[in-house]
Amino acid sequence: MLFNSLVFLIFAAIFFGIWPFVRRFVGTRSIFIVCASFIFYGWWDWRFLFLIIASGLVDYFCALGIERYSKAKKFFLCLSLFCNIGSLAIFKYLDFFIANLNGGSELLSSPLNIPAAELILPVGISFYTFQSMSYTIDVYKGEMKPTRNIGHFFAYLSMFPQLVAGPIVRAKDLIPALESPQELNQGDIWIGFRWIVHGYFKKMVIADSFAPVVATAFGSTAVASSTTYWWCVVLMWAFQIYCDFSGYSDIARGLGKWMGFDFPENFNHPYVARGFRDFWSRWHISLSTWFRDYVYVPLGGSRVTPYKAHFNMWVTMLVSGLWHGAAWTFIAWGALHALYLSVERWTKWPKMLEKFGPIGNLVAIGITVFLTCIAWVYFRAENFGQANAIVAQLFNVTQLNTDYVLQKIGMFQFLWLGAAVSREAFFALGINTWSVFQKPWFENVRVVTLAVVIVMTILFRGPGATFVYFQF
Amino acid sequence: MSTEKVRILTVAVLALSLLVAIAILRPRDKHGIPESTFWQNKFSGPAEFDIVAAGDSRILHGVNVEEFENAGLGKALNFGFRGTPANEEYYSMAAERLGDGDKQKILVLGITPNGFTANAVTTNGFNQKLKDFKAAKKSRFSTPAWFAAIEQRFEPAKLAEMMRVASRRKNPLQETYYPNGWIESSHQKPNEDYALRFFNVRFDGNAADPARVKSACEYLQTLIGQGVRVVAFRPPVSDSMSAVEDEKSGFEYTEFKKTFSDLGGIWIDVDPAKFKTYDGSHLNSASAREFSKWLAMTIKSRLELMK
Repeated sequence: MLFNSLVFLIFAAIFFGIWPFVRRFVGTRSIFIVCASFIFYGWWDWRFLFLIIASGLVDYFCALGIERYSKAKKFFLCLSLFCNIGSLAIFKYLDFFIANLNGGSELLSSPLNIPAAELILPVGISFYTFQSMSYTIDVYKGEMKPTRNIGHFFAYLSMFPQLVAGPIVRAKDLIPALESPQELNQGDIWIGFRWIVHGYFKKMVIADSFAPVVATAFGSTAVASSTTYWWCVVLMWAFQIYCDFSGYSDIARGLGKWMGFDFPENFNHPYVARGFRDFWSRWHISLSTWFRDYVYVPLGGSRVTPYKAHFNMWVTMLVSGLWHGAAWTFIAWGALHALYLSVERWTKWPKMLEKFGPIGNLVAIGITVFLTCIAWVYFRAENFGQANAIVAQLFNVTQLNTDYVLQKIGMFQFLWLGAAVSREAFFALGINTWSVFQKPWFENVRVVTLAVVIVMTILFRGPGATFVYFQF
Repeated sequence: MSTEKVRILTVAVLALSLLVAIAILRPRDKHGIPESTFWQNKFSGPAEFDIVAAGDSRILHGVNVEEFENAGLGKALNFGFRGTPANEEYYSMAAERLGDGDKQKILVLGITPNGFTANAVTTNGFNQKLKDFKAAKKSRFSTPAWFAAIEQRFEPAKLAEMMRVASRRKNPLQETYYPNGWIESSHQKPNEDYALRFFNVRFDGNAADPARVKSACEYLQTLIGQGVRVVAFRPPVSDSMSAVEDEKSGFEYTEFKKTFSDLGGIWIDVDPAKFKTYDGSHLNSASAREFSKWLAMTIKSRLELMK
């Protein structure tokens, strides 16, 4: 079920119509969440519900095993990791492995020609698998006690607002909330409402308006020879993926608030980051912290020699690239970010630029956005050939014609690009901290603004498209 | 009621009032149907037609299939899409709209070089529309008719349309969407050289591929073998547009005409000088009506000759 579909609006209306009557009863509430979440997920393909159930059961019992049989706790952890990573490997990476095996064997002049499995990729598998894994790891590390209530566990694992595209919620944060009765804060309802409205606007207006431009540009067999055009496309892609994903996260967090749960912030204006360390503390925060806590730190983190720390960071970023998709272009995207982070650690260039005051900070933001855009090309491109050709075109200063741009991109898209950039500038320049926005009467302005945003979302929506992060 | 709930309620009432006001005040085309319904009709209708016209935007804008019906060729549909590839996937979808009635089934194809290029397959309007349609169909699951009617009032707005309404200017390009799949178009300031700048570069590294032509012909032969009359023609365009396509596309009309006729297809030669385009590539409203009438009569007489 997509958040931007009529079916979901009906589903949400029914869910929140019943919710006030069940939320006070802890046990019933979890069962209700599980049933609703299974309907939400099963609407796409009910067969894959069995995968969530199987994956969840393994982790539920492994966590209990870790607590009960402390001598065999490593075995239970390995069993959990094996099952979770195994299902990811089969559904997400099998064809990638096969293609590489076939390619490698061809190079050695003994082609294997293994046929591709062509399995359907279950929506959100990477998200719920990571969420499930973190539960057993936290229990293993003694950071939390396993829950004995299977209803609470599955409510945590399958909670529909964040089931298919995050934010990735930690068990130690959500399970205690599920185990205790909560009073709904009226202020949270208003905050949740604002998040939901803004989330829909980001997704349906900004991201969906850019989607056709980006799809046409990257779908073409030949790379159009216009540098201006490609910069527009790459910027639109950068904002499409940001607004698409952060829009989803905003809606998910808003729905969570309405249910009385706090999901972690997933995006904090990543395009105002001054450097890549800063960028990764603002982009897909729940995933970045997951990789930090469950990959980077166990490898030794930065409490080792500088070279080993760089190595650990490279491994983390490459795995992060592979998490996003089973293709070498995603790994290249991860490698580029690892390179950016390595250079930043060595040179400390954001600190150097900071000495030049606001101008230096703006330059730091510009450099970060510029290099991020280059990396986004590899993230979106169909293959290396296309990515390299586009990057070469981005640096081709001899083809700065605007005719092609105006032919291919509409005025509305430029308008939304301007709006998206202005929104980031609003935060980069610190306008959001002005005292006027904190005044009590400003809430009335917010009321009018939200009504206008709803009207704009309906009237200026782009062609309905699925969420980009669903494929991960 | 808490302050927060009052705020949410105020937002909802304000938004709803604004939306209703916009829906009432928004200008609408009195003759045609809403654009979204137009595209939905193209894909989702039943297989009930006797004659289907297929091809790219030149067919979409240039063939008023009502003339086919007036000429007695049966129930007709314009299955044209912008930037369509001339391949089996598209032609088979067009042929699927032909019904099982008693009348002779006819597929009318507008042949343009662009349909046989690589870019036509990857960046075509047909695939995009099909994708949008599938997504819409999925999300429209169990949408009641009354809701669809309300939904049509809230079609996404276009910036150019809004700016024109604000400045009280009329759109120089007037388009009317008809339920039979035709878009009637006319331009206040026609410029026969307008589309040339796009076509001058369209075939750079993207020439018509002989393998694609061969593959399309093979599929058309299958259709002919199944008893479908396949008629084809070169849609009329400006002289300079014809010259650019002949020179740069790598597509040979003479060769295609011979191959197609040998397969059993009916090729119709069109005299483009008789018809006027508004941009060098698309017929204006009057010429489209005139051309459609002439095409219908020509198809009818050619079919009668073959009896």
